[in-house]
Parts: sequence; C-alpha cells; structure tokens
Amino acid sequence: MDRRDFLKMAGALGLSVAAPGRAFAEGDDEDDLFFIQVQAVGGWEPTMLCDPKGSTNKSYADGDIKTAGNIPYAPMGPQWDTFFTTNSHRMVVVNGVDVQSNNHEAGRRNMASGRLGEGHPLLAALVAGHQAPHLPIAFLSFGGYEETGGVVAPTRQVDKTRLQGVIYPDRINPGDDKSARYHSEKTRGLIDFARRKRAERQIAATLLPKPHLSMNTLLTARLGSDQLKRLEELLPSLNGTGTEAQVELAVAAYRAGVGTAANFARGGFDTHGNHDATHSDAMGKLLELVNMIWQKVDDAGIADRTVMLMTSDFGRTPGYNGNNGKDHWPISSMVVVSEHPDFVGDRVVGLTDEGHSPIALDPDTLEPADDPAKGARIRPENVHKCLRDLLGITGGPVDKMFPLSPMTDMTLF
Amino acid sequence: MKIRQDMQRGRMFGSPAAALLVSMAIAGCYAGTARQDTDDGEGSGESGASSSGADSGGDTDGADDGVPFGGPPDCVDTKSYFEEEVFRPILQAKCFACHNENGAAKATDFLLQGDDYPGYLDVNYNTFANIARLEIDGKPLVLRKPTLDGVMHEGGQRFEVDSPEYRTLETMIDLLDAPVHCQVDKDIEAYFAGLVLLDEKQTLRKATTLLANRLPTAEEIQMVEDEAMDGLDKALDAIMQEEAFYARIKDIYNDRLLTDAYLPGRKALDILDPMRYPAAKNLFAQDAQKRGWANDAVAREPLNIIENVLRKPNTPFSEIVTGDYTMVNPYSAQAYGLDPAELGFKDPADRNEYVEVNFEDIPQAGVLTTTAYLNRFPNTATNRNRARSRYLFDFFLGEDVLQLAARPINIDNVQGTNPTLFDASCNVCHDYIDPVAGAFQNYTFEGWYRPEAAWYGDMVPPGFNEETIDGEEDQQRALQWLAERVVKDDGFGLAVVYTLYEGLTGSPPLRQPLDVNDPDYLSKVRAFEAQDYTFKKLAQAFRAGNYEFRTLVKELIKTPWVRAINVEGELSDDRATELAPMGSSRALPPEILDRKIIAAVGFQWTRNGTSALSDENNYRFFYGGIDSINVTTRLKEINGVMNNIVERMANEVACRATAPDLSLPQEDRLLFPHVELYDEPGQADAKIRKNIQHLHARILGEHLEIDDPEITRTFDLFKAVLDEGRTGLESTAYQVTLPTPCQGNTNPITGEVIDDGIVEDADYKVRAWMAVLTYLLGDYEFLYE
Repeated sequence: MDRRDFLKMAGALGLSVAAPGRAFAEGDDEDDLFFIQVQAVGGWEPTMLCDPKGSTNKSYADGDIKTAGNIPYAPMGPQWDTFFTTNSHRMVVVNGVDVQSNNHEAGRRNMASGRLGEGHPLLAALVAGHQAPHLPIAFLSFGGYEETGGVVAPTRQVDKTRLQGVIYPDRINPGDDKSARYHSEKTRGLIDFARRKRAERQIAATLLPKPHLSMNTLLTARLGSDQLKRLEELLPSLNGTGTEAQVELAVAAYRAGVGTAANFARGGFDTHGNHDATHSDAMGKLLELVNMIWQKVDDAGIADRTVMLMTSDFGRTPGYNGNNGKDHWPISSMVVVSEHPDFVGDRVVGLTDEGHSPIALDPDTLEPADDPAKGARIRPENVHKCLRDLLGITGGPVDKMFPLSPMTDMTLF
Repeated sequence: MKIRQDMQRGRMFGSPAAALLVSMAIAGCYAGTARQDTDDGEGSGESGASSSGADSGGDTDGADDGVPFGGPPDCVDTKSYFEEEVFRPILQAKCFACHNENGAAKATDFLLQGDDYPGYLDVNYNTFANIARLEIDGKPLVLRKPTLDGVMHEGGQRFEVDSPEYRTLETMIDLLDAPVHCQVDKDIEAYFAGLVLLDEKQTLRKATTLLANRLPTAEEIQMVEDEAMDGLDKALDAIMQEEAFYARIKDIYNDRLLTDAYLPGRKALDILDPMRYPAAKNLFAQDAQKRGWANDAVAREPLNIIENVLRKPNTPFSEIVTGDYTMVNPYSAQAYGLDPAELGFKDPADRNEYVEVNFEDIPQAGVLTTTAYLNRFPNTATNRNRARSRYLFDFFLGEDVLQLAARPINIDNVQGTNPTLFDASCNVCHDYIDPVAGAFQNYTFEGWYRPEAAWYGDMVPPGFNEETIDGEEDQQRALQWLAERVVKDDGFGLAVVYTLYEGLTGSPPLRQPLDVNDPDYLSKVRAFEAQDYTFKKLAQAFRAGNYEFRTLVKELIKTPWVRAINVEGELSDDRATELAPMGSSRALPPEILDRKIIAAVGFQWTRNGTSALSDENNYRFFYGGIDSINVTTRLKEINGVMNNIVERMANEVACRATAPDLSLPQEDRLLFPHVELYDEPGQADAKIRKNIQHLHARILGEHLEIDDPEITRTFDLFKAVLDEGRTGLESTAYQVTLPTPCQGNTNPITGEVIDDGIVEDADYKVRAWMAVLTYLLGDYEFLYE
C-alpha cells in the first residue's frame, strides 16, 4: 500500500491516523511551512472587522472607518489597530464570501475545509497530513471544526509540565538528565527492535483496513515520538499560560521540527442579543489572540514560512433583531496573512453592497461583473483552492483525497 | 411521514438494497437495470455467511418504511426506475434547464435540484412524487404540461403524447402508487464474505474489557470453550450484572449527553430552578463534602436514570425517556426540598443510594426533563429550541438532522419574511425539526419548567411525525407526549444501537454517502448499506423484544462490526474501501486503559497519588480523554505524545510489578507463576516459554502455542536482554542493585511489605523480565481494542 492508498484508506475510515513511518513521509523538509488556522466560532460579523460599513451597525459611522495600507477596517479599538497596521502588508482580505449556509456546523465546516458537505479535513490538518504526519506534534488542535479526514493524528491539551514528563519516558526522574533509567539504552534498543518486528508481522498479516491502519499509526507515532527531544531546549522559553502557552508550544514545535500546523478557536460570536457590545468583546479577544500569534511568529523569525487563515461560521444579518442582536447571514469574510514570498498582501478581494450582500464578480478581473447575472460569487472553496496552491498541497496525495472543484476558478492571491 | 423517511440515515434512498442498486446504476457500474433476481444462485459461492462465519446480523425481510420488498425475478425498484429512466433521460435532459433554482420556471412548484445539491436524486424523487399527484380531469398534470395536452406550458412542447418519454412517465406514475424496493440480499451478504472474526474466547476478552473493565475468569473461558456461542451468551449475561457494567454504560452515554460537565464543584446545584427549588442555592453551605454529593447526584440524574432502568427487572430501556421520575440520593433530594426520611431510603446517609422521585407538578419524561440535560443543551431566543430538537433526533431517534444543513441555501432565499416557515429551501428542514423544538416549549433557556409561556405562532406547531400537540393538557406535558411517540418510532432502537456501537468501538455509525462525484462513492454506499442493514435488524429485534437492553448488547457484540479482525484473500482497492469501517480498532480511552492495566497487573498506574491516566491533573487529556465541557470528543489514535505516555506507563508498571511479583511465593503470583529466578535459558526453556505464554495470554489476550513465533520472539528478547545485562554487570557498567522504584519490598497490589523482597539483581534476571513486561504492555494488542 503506497502513501496515497494509505491516506485514501485512512480517509475512508474517518480515523485520525498518520502515515506509516518515514518510508511514506515527506521528510523533515526545511521548506515545510507553518500553517495556523484561526476559527471564530459562532459566526463573526465582517462589518465589525474587515468589511466595514457604517450602515449595518450602531458602533460607528462610515466616516469613522479606518484604513491600514489598502485595507479598510472597522474602528473598534486598539486590538483592531494593532491587527491591521501590523499585518496589512501581508494580508489579503476576502469579502463577500458566500458560505451557503446559516447553520453553525455546516458553515464552520465549509469555511474551515472548503466543502459544505461532510468529510473534508480542516486545512490545518490537511497541511500537516501533507507535510509531515509522522511528527509527534504534527497538528495541534484547540477547538472549532476539527475533522482531520484521517490524514494526521491530532494533539491537544499539551502543557509544558506534563510534556517534560514524557519527553524522556525511560528516565526514572524525567527532569534529571543524570537520572537512572528503567532500562539500559541497549535493552531499550532490543525492546524497540522486538516491537518493530512484531508490528511488521502484525501489519503484514492484517488486511482489514481498520486494524491495519491503527497498527500503522502506532508504528508511525513510535517513529516520531523520539523526536520530541528536539523540543526540550525550547521548553524553558515556554512561560505562558492558557492560550499563550498553546501558541508558544505551536511555534516552538515548528521551530524544533516536531510540528507543522496548529488550529485555534475562539467563541462568543453568536450574538443574537446585545450584539454590538458582546460581539466587539469577542472580536477583540480574537484579535488579541491573533496579534499574540504574530508577535511570537515574528519574534521567532518565521513569518516568511508562516501562513494563517482566519474564518468563522458565516456572517451576521445587516439589521438587528428584537433583542438588539444579529442573526445568521450566509455572507462572510475570510482573512489570509502571510509573508511567504509568493503571497502578495495589502489587498482586498470580493465586494459586498451596503446591505452586505455579495456583488457578482468577473472571475478573471475580480471586479464587479458587467452583467451581474453572469457574475460569480466567491465561495470558501475558492479561497481554499488558492491556499492549497500557495501551500504546495495541490496535486499531492491529500489534495487528491479531498479534491476541491470550485464552480468558478478565481485566482484570489 | 415523508420527510423523516427520507432523512433517516438508512432511509435516504428508501431501502438499503434500493440505494445500492441506484448508486451502482448512477455510477455506471451496475448493469443497467433495477430488475433484480434475488435467488438465482448467481454468485452464491461468495454470498451468505463467510467461511469464517461472518453473519450480517439479522434476517433479510426488513422493509422499514411500509414499502414492501418486491420479489424475484421481475422486481422493478421504484426509485431505481425514477433515477435511471425518468430523471436522467427526461427530467434532466428536457426539464432541468428551466425548472431549477435560477431558471425560468423557478417560481413553479416543480423545482429540480442539480447534482451539486447533496442528496439531489432523493429530493427530485420526492418533488416528482408530489407533482405527480396533481391531475386535471383525471390526467396527471405532469403528462399534460410537457405535451401541451390541454394546458399551457411556457417551456413549450417537450415531447408528444404516447412518445417513449410519455410512456415512461406514465409507468413512473403507476409505480408511485405502489412503490417497491427490490430485495438484493446477495449484495448485502457478499459484503461480509471472507471476514475473519474474533473467536468466542477472544470475543469474551473484548467484552469483559469493554463492559466490565476486567479480564475473563478461568470459569468464563472454560464455559466458552465448552459451549461456544452459548457459553459466550451466558458469560455476557453474568458480566452485564456486574457493577462495572453500569459504570461503563453510563460512560458511554455521557460521551453523548456530556452531562458530566456539571460534576465538578457546585455547578449542578446552581442550575436548578431557584424559584421552584430555593433550597438548592445554599444547601450544605457549610459542608463541602455533602454539597458535593448533592451536586454530583443532580449532575448525574440523566445517567442515573439510565442505570436505574438497567437495574430494574423487566423494564424496557425506553423508560429512559418515558419514566415519570428522576433519581435522587439523600443529599440531592434536599436540594429539591424533599425530606429523605419520606423517600424510602434504606440508609438516609448513603450517598450511593438512589430512589425514584416524581415531581407532582412537573410532567417528567426521564432524561429529557432533567435540568442537567436541558441545561447542557440550552436554548436561546432565536434558536427557539431547535438545538434541543437536533439533539433529541440525534440521541434518541438516530437521525443526524445536521446532514440536511449540508444542502446549500441561496442568500436570495433568506431575505424574505420568515424564511424558515415560508421558503422552500429552508422549510424542507424546519418543517421537520421545528415541531419537535416546539415540544420543548415549556422549558426555559436554562431548563426550568414554565408551562405558562405561549409558543411562537410563526413556527410550525409543536408535534411529531405529522401529529400536532393539541389541547392544553398535552401542551402542558409536551415532552411526555413527545417521548411516548419517540419510543414507538423505529428510530429509538436505532439510536440506542448507534450509541452502543460508538461507545464500544469508538467509531460513529456510517452516514449515508451523498457525494456521487466521490470516486469511492460506490464502495462507501456498499459499506453504509451493509452496516445500516445490520443495525436496523438489531434495532427491530430490540424493539420487538420490548427494548431489552442486554440482549441488544449481546447481539451487537457478536456482529462483524465489532468482531471482525481480518479478511481472507487479496483486497482490491474498492474492496478495501468497502471494508474500511469494518471491525473495531481504536486506542483505548484513558479510563479504560487505566482499568485494563489494573486488570492485567493488579494495581493502578499512578502519578502523584492518583490515576496517571484517568485523573485530569495527570495524563487524562494528554491521552485523548474528555472533560465533557470543552473537550468533548475522544482521540482514537495514538499520536507521538501519547506514545511517550505509553512508554512511560510500560516502564513504570513493569518496574513496579516485576520484582514484587517474583518475590512472592509462586502460587501467589499474577505474572510469573511458572518460573523462578534461577531458571536459565538453555536449562529451563520450557518453563520460561510457559511463563511467556502466560504473559501473552494475560496481557495481550493471545492464546498461543508454546512454539508460536511470537513466543519465540519474546523468549529471544528475554535472552538477549539477559546477555546484554550480564555483559554490563561484568564490566561494572550496570549496578547489581535494582533502581529503588523497581525493588520488590512492597506488594503494589496490596501495599503490604514483602519480607525479603528482591532488591539485588545479580544475574540481571529481574530486569530481563521487566523488559519482557515493558515490551508487552506497549503492544498494540494491549493499547487498542
């Protein structure tokens, strides 16, 4: 079974599995990118972020709208200012995205995976599955839509203290590099050798896909888990708590070559009541997270190898309901941030009208179509298709496993 | 109820057999006809039970929606006929250009969906069936319009009266009067061909691990060896009376209901209705322990109701939603303002004693009316209980209504007034889920009973299955009314099958594949239909057996969906995809692995005095566990970090177990009953092999011959470690004294001091056996089930 078949089978199983060992892995490629997905769970309002309109909210007027580079944004507070002024040069805002759903789960899935129907993994898992599924922390995931499609085993709830305890499982005292060991190194080698031989025999004798893949996954985990030691020297620099600790770990895992993708989620956006105050609070916290991520990415000097996608379930209605809230609206925005040399930032693509309905586009120019009836709408799959190209996934095995077929091709970035 | 039949996992195409045929025909992989000869003997060599004894899990007479299975040899499947003869050559070719969402005929009732619309064939079938009922002067409009036969048609004449197209539509209309599913047993049975299943003894071990957190006893193994399946049934009957069984079923249901979110601290007492139950707020304010007991009892009411139903003799499992009571212990009773002395407790101080309590002023419906359940799935002003409806369908009717949400909506359709009621693209779902949402009308966002509030007039009225809740009395007891109907629906049994299956295997039930463009679509359909077939049979038997839960557990465990471990012969790519969901193989959740370690070595793997795997302050979340609040899905495969946890576990457990066990008299040992420390390879090979054979059976559940290659591999490991260690001892690189945690001074099972316990390991024998134990505790067979 080659890698393609293995992954295909894993996808059919719907299991979280990793490719079986180095033989199938792409290797620890220095060109591997660091991909970060950020999900605003509940359905954000783009007009409070990157598609500002004084006509659709009570928080600001059209004249208050701010601009960073070529990107207009909602004047909602310092987190917004930091986010846009720091990142506008490496940011593409995609407005007027037609999510085609007002349902939380379906919309979230569509935005995170590029497919309205079930089954496609979120892009972060796809990246990890493509680049290095054998790495011990290949894919860190902390909520939102988390379907992996079986291309990588996710990791979550990792903290420094407990991590230290498992980096060296053979040490009796894990924090002491002079600690006695449970087994001598040679004995450990003998145990590993016997395990591997037994596993190979088990795998060869088992044709049924589910146990076959589980055995492969365990074997893969074993091949990669020793690499956790690479993380050790970075552990002292992980001093954050809560979300900051998660971000620090994700960045450190990438720098150490033991991780390649991370998924973060923030809730509080489903503001059917008291919208402006509640939603701006949620958005502010989301931007605090994103600003922190980019701070650490910049500090680590990996911005040119980092790609971030920000999405939400859908948008929110242009008008207010009786509870001063806003309900679900299937038009939304997506934001891509990267300093990758092939990525040209400081751009806004896609348009919406004053009522936050999408304006049909000429798919070639991305300008308003001369004949709206013949124009196209941007859908999440268009953005994902372009991101797969940027990330070098297109044409690879996981791309073929989970194909995207946009109704209309559009080169967004 | 038409929509529901369409939407149930197994009903999307009417019947499994029909769906398979349809799908094969759509993809051009089936030889062009819906006519099926079900007993012509063709392919009989691979149909029926496999050589390995795989059984699809039931008999084959299961029409499930009132539509009879047709018989051989001239069976014409109604939906197959529609899709092959009507939709593609006629409707798609001659009608679809105008009759689509954006076409010239978009305002008509005859609106067809294109192939980018998930489930479009099924939707179009229903649309055509509805249109076909309309007649003018006794002649169907669907025949008159395209032929301009006495009516106008803006699309003009599409074909002539008595043309082949006309005759085909006539036939279709006739078929709609008496739809038929064609039974194709051989396709279903062929799916199971060649599977290799766990034998009875292996199945017993799997069952004891998954249901009772222990290894099978010698008596149980003997019973299975003597009586095969009958013995397995008897063993399972006994296993399912053990305390651990009730805990496991509650764990399985909590993975769905997630009401353990209220276990920690005082949260459960805080969510009780403060007006109705004012005592809860400050109950045992000065006694944290008692308040905790009360809190946990309130939090676990849904799960305790389930346990209560399982414990009561001759009680149908359906009582979990129809029981007019909840469960309280002496402490939670006081939160409800009740006097424990009046509730019949045997010991009013026993926090583990529970009794049924009926609140006279609240019409209770088991789990459904507990505050923990309702608060765990709360309501909002705009959601209008639709989420509660969704979860009821999911948990208790086996229907994932969110699959409907994959159908795209158009922004133009949601801008009108009340689209969920009036727009066709919205109300196709909302007509279905909103009545059930309305049945929760008497409960507040928080889950408090407030029957006085009127329900929304701009929604489909509360009800179920095309029946409306009428009259004040039924409205006041709307959830009871709903529960009574839920348990009479085929979906209730199916939902229990789904929950059990996922709980035992870690795999969710398969969903109806909807993407006909998926290159693996056909293989996935075959897998879905085979599983659906088995599960519906189980559900039907469950219902026919008055919802006897334990019988269902036994029957499910015996199906290939749980027992399959291999398949004979070569696998083509398609066959491999078909069999992808077959069998069970998942990394054990931390709680089960924790108990399995105890079962295998007799003691718990601990860290800082608590369970290393189950305690949330240790590795519970690292190892893929849930907290029922933020982390609600379990990891099913082992990642690199989890593997290192396994390595540490295997090292520490082997370290703690080996020397103490070898220090005990031989007859008292769990792990090394067949060897002594003086037994040397080359001199006592038989004894060493026998002990290795014992360890393979105890740790891994492998019953191997003494000369099995795996016994030899383990023997070789033992010998190689011994040689390596002795070399190290001779060179003084290694110490004679065992590391302190690995010394045999204390029995880790009893905590008792062992006189003259092994401390020195002068010939490295203890460490060689430690290595063997480490090797086995980290094996796939130990870590997965």
